[in-house]
Amino acid sequence: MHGQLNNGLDVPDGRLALVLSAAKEIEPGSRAMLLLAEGLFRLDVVVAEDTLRTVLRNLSGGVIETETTLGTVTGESVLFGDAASHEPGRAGLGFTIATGADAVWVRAMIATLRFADRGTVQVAAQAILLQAPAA
Amino acid sequence: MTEANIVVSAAVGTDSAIEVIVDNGTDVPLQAGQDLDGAAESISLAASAAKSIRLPGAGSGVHRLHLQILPHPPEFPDVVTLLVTAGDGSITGQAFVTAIE
Repeated sequence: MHGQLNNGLDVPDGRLALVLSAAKEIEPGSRAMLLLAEGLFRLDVVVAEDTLRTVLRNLSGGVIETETTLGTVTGESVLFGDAASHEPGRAGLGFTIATGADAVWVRAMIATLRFADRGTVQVAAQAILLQAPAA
Repeated sequence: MTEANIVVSAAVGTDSAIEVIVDNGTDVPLQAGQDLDGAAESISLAASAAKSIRLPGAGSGVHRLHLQILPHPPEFPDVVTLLVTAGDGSITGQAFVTAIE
């Protein structure tokens, strides 16, 4: 079971918008699908030692242009409970999917917690998908 | 967690169950998606009220609560994703907060 939650968002100018979020607890070295936007993209993650690698698969038939600025984050991530003792990490990812005259902006936040006693890493993500304004 | 006042707390009950309390301090009801140990449903957080979500006993493995709280602009413009993991004697929480403007 993937456990991803998807919901539409109302934005002031009426553009289409979605939020996707999911979390996976994986063993280091293994690859897991974290987010899936049907017909647009699939985001996989691989955790290796202290590195989080993301693999973005284009499902749109169009072009994906990733942002070159490292650490793109739009929003905040918050920790509570015992989370601070699990080596929290955080990353951001931004890209645009263009198909013909249409484009979708995607901004994702990814956060990790390491559960040493279980030998696993929890990877969580939230992505906002927003239809780009008409050109 | 935000200036618009959603407060999340968690406690272990006498029966070892975890109780997560999501207090919606805004003046508007908020819609949310919930996934509790793989069981997904839509829920509503009443205005100015607290909702209790009970996770199974801590002695029965690891349990996960995933909440996706949707914005209600202008009173609450944020998308909030909340993840609570309980097990092995600890409760960990992560949240993402993004303003939709």
